[in-house]
Amino acid sequence: MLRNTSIIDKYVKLAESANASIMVDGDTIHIVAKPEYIPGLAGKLFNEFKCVHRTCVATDERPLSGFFSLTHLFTDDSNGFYVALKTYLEGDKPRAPSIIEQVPAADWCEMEARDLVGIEFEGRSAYRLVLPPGWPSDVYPLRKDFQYDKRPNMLPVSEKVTITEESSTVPVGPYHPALHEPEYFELYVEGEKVVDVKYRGFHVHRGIEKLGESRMTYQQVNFLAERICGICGFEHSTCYALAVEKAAKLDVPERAQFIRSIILEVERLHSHLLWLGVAFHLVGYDAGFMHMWRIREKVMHLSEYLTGSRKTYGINLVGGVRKDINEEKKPKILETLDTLEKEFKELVDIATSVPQVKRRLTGTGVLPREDAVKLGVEGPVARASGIDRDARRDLPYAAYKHVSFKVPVYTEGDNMARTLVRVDEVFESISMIKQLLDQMPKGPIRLEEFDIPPGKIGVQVVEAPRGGDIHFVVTGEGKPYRWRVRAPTYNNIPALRVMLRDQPLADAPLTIASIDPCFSCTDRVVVIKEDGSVYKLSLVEGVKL
Amino acid sequence: MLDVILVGVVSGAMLVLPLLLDGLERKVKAAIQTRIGPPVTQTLYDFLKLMGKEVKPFTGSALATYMVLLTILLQVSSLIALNYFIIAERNFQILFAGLALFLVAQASSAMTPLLVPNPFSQIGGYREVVVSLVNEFTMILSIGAISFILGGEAASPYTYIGLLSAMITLFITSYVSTGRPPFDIAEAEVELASGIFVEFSGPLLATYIYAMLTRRLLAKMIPLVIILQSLTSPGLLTSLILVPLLVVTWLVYGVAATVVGRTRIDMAPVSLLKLYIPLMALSITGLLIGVYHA
Repeated sequence: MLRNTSIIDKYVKLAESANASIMVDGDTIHIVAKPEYIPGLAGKLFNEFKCVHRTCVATDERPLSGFFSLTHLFTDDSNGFYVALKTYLEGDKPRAPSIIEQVPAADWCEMEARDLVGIEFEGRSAYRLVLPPGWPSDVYPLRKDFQYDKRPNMLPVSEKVTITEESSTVPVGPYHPALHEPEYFELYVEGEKVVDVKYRGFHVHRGIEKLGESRMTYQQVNFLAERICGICGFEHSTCYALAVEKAAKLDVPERAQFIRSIILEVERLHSHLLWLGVAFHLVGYDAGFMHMWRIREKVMHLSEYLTGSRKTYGINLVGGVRKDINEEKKPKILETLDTLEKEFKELVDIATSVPQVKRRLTGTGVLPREDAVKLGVEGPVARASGIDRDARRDLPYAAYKHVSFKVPVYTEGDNMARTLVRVDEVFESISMIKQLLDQMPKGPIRLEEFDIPPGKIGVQVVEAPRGGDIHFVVTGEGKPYRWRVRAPTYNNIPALRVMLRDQPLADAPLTIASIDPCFSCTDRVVVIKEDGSVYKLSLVEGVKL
Repeated sequence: MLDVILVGVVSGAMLVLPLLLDGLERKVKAAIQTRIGPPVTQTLYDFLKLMGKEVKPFTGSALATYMVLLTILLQVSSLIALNYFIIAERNFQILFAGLALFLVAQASSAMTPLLVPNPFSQIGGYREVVVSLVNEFTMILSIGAISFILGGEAASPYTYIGLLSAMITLFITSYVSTGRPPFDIAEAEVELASGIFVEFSGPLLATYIYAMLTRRLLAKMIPLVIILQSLTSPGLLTSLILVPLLVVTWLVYGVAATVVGRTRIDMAPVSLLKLYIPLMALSITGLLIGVYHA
């Protein structure tokens, strides 16, 4: 208590130095300051307080307060606090100071705020990030006066591959046999060496936040959140549910939290095994790929046994879960985990001893620690570069405070380190599931009746297989007023520029894959034809979507 | 005359082998990976299906197609020469002609991706050239050493160490020539997946794949022919021994490819040189000692 008090005093002094107001609500410290103080405060939080910048959230609060707001979300991992640094912005063309000089990791979230809410940032260059180039410039989808089913006129714009005299250009994507999702990398090469990288993503932006804020109830958003990603969907729905429960101060039954934690770890197992198989395939070791996915089938069977589905489990609700894990299921779960652990160990020992696998993973795609910190990378990418961070330990949620586990950290920062972090996490996850099963309390699995008052804020980080996923919720009437999702890959992709530079072209796919990219999580515009008819393009008039 | 007809018949029959043996390899690979795998005739089915598709030319496809057809022509000629050598006449000039035709076919096969106006294809082509420069040159050296020793120019127990070393080198160069892991870096690297296999389609693709598989057949045939010629007399019997040996060698190479990963283009020549230099040094040393004693 004394420790917490002195830590909070630190934040109080920080707020006072900027004439800002401060409020502590549970584990979240809310600081509201005038716009001109934001860069200084953000810089102090990042550099002096060693907080991690997770994302920023632009909100159209004009119906509530007449202003726009911009909230930078930090976490103080050493002390287990969330820090929401907020400012209000006036007018219909709001302007805010940029913090990217102090916090380089804020680059993308500022441009997303610009694209979707129309906030202009001072002191930096601006570019289109999320929306396609042909999107009209004065239309901001996340403003409250933009209806979710509106279809603005778009002019088709064709992007050309950049040609330079200094190097050759190798375009990869948006559709490429090597890519599992649409994304676009332009690799500038000299011979076989990559000298620079340009990335263009957000091809799978689906307007999920707008949907969640417009036409869905609190409980329906759980199922939408789970569809943000096909691999790590459950952690999104858990993160959302926890954020709403935190905002509404709901006392969720312990048994439900244990079940959530078990399923989260099962999801981590399937995700890491999937990734390891893909990594082996990328280095030509298809025997490893096939065997790893064979072993992964046990996890898929386990998921189906526990939730009724191999993936997209659909068991999360605000207030608890829909399915129980009863005593009869425990022996089979434990037997599956034991077999899985044994086979996984055997395969990893063989696979990592294959000379080509070892040589291609070691020393390639290096991300130095300093760059990893500046860019705010998440998850195994961070832990492989020597950053000891894990939200399950630092910002405990669900039932993680009841289990003991190691957080694997390596310092080499190369592809092998990222592989070994994931391998170690598989063993830890197996151990954690066993502990959770052993300690699971009896009781209900969800709250039957509860209220969610409007105007409350909830911020939650969940450690997804790829890293910390953060959901920010402002409660409204029967549905979220604002729902912001920032997936871990969002912070990891910018690190690719560092990891790919001066590396052999042949290592590019492996290095890109080493961050375990989930572009569906990162993106959230898709064209919906209402009646299935085909519209002919008119280059003069534009195309009606 | 009968020999010529036999050579023709055997060569004709062997033209189907690459497709069937690839199917067999895929089945064995599947077993290692605990899968069921496609039927043994799958590669043949795929070939016939592709041949029945519409021809879709692309920019520069004429030149690339001519190169593929030239490759197959050279490979078939090489096959005929090697069969003539083992069935009709043990004339080393014919063996070397067959080898030369194979090497020229390798060169034209390496040229093909470079003629496709696709950056991924061209990167793959350059990679193939880099590996070929090391590998095919060593193949020539090893065959030279073996021919010299088997030709009786050097007589001494030490020459047999040199012979063994040269044979090992020849089999390794033969494996690398087949373009299997860890040396399938010209076409199987993930970043090149949008290369030649995307540009070629239908009959063009079928022809290109057939050329790749025939290359694998010849690469295995060369060392086996060299071994058999010293153990058997000319005749059909040698062919009847050769074919099962080809099958076994194909499968051994396939199993080896399944349990390794893929090397990287900058590592491949270095790895090969680290292997070839000591082996060839041993071979040449044994040869020289043999010459000295002879």
